[in-house]
Amino acid sequence: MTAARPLDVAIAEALRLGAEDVEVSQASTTTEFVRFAHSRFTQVGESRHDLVRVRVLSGGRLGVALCASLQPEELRTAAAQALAIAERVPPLEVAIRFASEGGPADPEPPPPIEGPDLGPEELRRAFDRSAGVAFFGALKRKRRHMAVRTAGGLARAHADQVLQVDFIAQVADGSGWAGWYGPTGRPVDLGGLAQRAADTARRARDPLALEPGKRDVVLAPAAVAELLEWMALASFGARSVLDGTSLLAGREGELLTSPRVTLSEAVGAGDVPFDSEGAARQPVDFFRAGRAGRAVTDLVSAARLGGGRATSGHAAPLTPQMDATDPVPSHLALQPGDRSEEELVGMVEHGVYVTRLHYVNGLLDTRRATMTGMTRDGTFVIEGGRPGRAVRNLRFTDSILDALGDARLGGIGREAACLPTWWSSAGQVETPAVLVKGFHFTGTSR
Amino acid sequence: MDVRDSYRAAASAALAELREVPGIDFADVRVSREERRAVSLRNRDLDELSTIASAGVGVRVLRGGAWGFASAPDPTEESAVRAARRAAEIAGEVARAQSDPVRMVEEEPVVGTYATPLLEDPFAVPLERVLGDLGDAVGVLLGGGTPSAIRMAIAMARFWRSRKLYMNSEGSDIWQETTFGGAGIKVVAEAEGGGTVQRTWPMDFDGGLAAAGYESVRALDLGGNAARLQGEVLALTTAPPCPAGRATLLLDTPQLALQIHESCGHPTESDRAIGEEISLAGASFLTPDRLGRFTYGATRVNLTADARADGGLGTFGWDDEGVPARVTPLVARGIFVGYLSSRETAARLGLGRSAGCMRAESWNVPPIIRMINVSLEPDPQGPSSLEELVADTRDGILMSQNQSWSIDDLRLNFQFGCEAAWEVKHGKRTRILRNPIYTGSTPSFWRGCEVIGGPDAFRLWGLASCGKGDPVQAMAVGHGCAPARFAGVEVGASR
Repeated sequence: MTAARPLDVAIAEALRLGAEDVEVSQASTTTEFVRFAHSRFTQVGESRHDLVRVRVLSGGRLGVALCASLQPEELRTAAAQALAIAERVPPLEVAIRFASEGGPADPEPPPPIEGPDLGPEELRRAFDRSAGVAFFGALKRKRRHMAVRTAGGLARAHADQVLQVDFIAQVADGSGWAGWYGPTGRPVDLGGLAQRAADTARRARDPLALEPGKRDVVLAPAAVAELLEWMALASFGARSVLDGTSLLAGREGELLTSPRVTLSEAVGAGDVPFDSEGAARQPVDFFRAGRAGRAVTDLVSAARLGGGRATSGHAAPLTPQMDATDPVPSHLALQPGDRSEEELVGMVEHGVYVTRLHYVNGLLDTRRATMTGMTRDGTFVIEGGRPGRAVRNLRFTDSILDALGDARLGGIGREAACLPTWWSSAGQVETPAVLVKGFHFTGTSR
Repeated sequence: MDVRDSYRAAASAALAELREVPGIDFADVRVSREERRAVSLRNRDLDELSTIASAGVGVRVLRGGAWGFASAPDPTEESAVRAARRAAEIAGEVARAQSDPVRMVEEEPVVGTYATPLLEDPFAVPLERVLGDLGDAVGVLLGGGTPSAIRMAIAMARFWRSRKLYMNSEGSDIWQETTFGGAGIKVVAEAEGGGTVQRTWPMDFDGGLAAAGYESVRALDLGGNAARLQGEVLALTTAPPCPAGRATLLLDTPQLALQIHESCGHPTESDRAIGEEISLAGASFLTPDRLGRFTYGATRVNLTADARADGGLGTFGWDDEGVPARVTPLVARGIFVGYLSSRETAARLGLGRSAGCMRAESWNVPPIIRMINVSLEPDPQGPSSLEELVADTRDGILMSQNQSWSIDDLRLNFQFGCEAAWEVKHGKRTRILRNPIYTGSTPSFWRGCEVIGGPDAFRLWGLASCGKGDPVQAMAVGHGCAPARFAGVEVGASR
């Protein structure tokens, strides 16, 4: 049996019960994880979930039910629940239809490329290459299968495998991070990653206390990625535009950042090519040469925005927590500039280099992308264009929209790194390092 | 066969399978079914109405001193045996790569049942009634016509139910049915000069949640609070920003609950304290060498972990390794005295026994150390309400409801943004202030705690979406407190 066929059980049941249109989407993930702390394995396991969402339309009313099983009985129950809901709720204020074309009639996605087996023994060898260093982190391999089918004949399926590795190294009071994310087929040098984290940790020992204030800062890709994720969560989905809380709301075409900034939703070879409604993911510009673009949409939000908008293919992914309902980007990409990270550091006379951020919150003022957060795992002063002593972690509170403005954006690196998003099991951020002038540090960890 | 018997058959099959595997030190099996329902209205339109059901088996094995975990969808004997074999295989692989064996403190095996006390099963409440209750609240938030500044009004209700069988290789056999849920409302308006302001009741994101039935929604008085929220959000649109400087800070209970969560709950998690969460969520300044001797706060500060509290989201009969619900002092008369712990971390830290804090979001992930109900004890002589606390304050800033939160990887340096603040002068609220933030360092903040409200002002709140672990798990936890006052806190405005 192909993986898509169980979904037909739900479609048939919903149609039998009187639904006018039916959409069934599946997200199955098996995650193999190895967590470690103090170079010791603390949690090792395999977590599996199947999620199936059944949506039905009946008399302009939308009903939704989810189940975590591919068993026919559970799928039929979910179909009946979705229809029961549709019969008892008010009609949608906009008209939608589920997708009705795309993909072959009975798709069987090509099997993903299996990478080498990486587990505790391979990690142990990586730890052993850096004597005297304590390692913390995780290695996760995710096998994902997504499928969408509709009563109108749409049938899409996709399977892939991704690997994520995070090493945090500790040497005395110094901490450093290195990570990797991508398809399992690519070679991964665990020992090299561990050594990179260890080298940063050694440099980060005995940190100085730096007083808060405005300082020029080179933000490494992992730090930039977290800021862009928060900007996306708060502003790049259609819901926030409808609510008026998005920094894009009512500003399409306005110059909001430096013309050097082009930030987009990209569609690349490693991405799931469709969303949970089966719509093909479309590239979307949030900033094109600094000018505000549009937010991503799903079926309902596109209809609510009006003006003939169609879905951009960014319906929220299915999650076991059932906590994602708004359309979200899945592959943010900041267009690289023309300088190496070393050159960016070289442009700073007195400043700070930030490896990574911790516990950022981007809800302070979403219209200006004002955020706060802490640095971690390697924060260094820059003196005379060269990285110097480590400093204690710093708190920043600043408008990232202002920071990306022409007056404060000092430069964009040319080498982009790919980092996983934390809001979704299927997202990534591709970004280079960025130099920002007068980044506002408002506190320090003591 | 009823569902409990079929789950027991599945768990028994898994444990029987593991008895045949050499080197098994301990094993436990969870077989469970979870259901959730979510309803939300946005500007009178139905925004979300969905249900989810999930059932399966999770097996944890300690073999040769190393842990292995595996899960399988569908709560059948076949799934359970498959998960047991895979967990044993994984534990064997780990044991070969590790020489330092896991040890656990003893715990008496137990056979028992637990169910959340309910007055009205929320899953049996007709949908039309839920929609009606939420619709009435949205109607009040929006007013007769929509005031021009108001951009959006939301009302939402959510309910969770879990039926879970736990069995372990030591003979425990536990059946638990837990239910929790509640509702919340939010209104957003456009502020003069740009930006938006918001008011929520009782909290953003999760609303007001309790381990209870639909009676918890009625207790929130959504309609009455909606009228207050509408007035406050419109006042905020023209309010001045919160002035910057050092101030005496008063916190209402929803904001203080989050302060407790971030600056007491998380740093007293023993897995953080020994470095096991460094890679993701961070570590803790409350290191084992500080246990019993570190001054965390003022002597009036007593913080307690209690899995028995009525209505708490961290209330249950037994945790997910069969440890009974317990009460554990975390901070006593200002001194750090206890950890949230598991059988493993209790052994590593020499704590004598587990605090019973191992909890898993669902059958498909392993249990990890989580908060239960972590609460600030009321002061028996403290003010009996927020307004009495205000009346007792000569000069201060009262902040209400959380809007943003951030804390460093040791849980020391924090910054919280709130929805609204009021200047307090000579015992009275004066002008309303917008975009307030406050920042500080955890021990300094709690050492500056100068007044805690009394038992009549105590309120137990719930947070359903505390994220931790890798893969990340969401957990429901409880925090009780009365409003409190803190001296010398740095305050300001986010914009």
